[in-house]
Amino acid sequence: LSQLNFDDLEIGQSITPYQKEITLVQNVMYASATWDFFRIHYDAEYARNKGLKGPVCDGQMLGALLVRMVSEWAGEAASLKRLKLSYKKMAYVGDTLKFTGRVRCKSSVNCENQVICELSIENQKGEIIVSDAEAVLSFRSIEK
Amino acid sequence: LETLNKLLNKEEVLGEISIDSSTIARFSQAIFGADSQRLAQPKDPEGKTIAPPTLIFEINPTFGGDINGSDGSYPSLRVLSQFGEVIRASNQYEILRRVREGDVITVYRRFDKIYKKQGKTGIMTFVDTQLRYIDENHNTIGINRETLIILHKDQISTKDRAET
Repeated sequence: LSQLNFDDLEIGQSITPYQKEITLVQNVMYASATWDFFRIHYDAEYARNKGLKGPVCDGQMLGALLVRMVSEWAGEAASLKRLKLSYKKMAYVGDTLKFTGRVRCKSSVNCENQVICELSIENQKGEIIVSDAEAVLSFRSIEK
Repeated sequence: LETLNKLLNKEEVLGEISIDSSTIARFSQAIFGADSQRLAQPKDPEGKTIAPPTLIFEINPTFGGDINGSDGSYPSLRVLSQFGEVIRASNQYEILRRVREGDVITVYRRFDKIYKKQGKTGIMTFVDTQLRYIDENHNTIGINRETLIILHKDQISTKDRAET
């Protein structure tokens, strides 16, 4: 796990990106973990009857996967204070999603070190799945 | 809109969530996979497992309740589904305290605003909702501001959300 130091962060710095294929197994695991069993997430026939191409990813799971990226990048010195995201297109089982982000700004107010990161998710076609996403992190000081 | 407007500004209890170590472990495994033990389950000074930051906003607060409806949908969406197909447009989470093993969280829901917007597929109805998460000491530990879209029948097959 990385351990970023607030003082070393630069505006525009990229967050370590990652790619992930959305699988039916993951959708089912997420449904079981959150007790959210809306059938469009795992029942292909039901989803198609609703006019969808197939089972779709739960939007909130995308938020959790963005937090995973930020957490792995920022490490234990950072804690998430706020996350916002807008869902623009459905992500389907079988899609490979690319999670990216960068540091938009940093500030120190009242001894609190804060970093705002802008985040996005695209599918394998380059289509935007999540936009206007933003994470606000609070960094505690690390002794070098 | 007139019927929907009757739902506005009334905060009600949506349900209660008890957090135990297996709740956290299952969620961490679903999101962090094989790395979940290493990355997603830190401990507090008392040795209690701390949940990933967004867990509380994602768990269905009617756990153990009505999951046998025809579509299995999340209850906060289902109350609106009589008006059309409901999808999420956005979420905004505010974390005031991380949830940990042993917490019992009560979830309150309030519909704040209902309005219509023109999209490429026609007029869509938007519902701004606030979910508040209160711990056993009556402290607010998180807020989820969620915007939902009610699609009319002819819009259901065109669910790509960039249409707005």
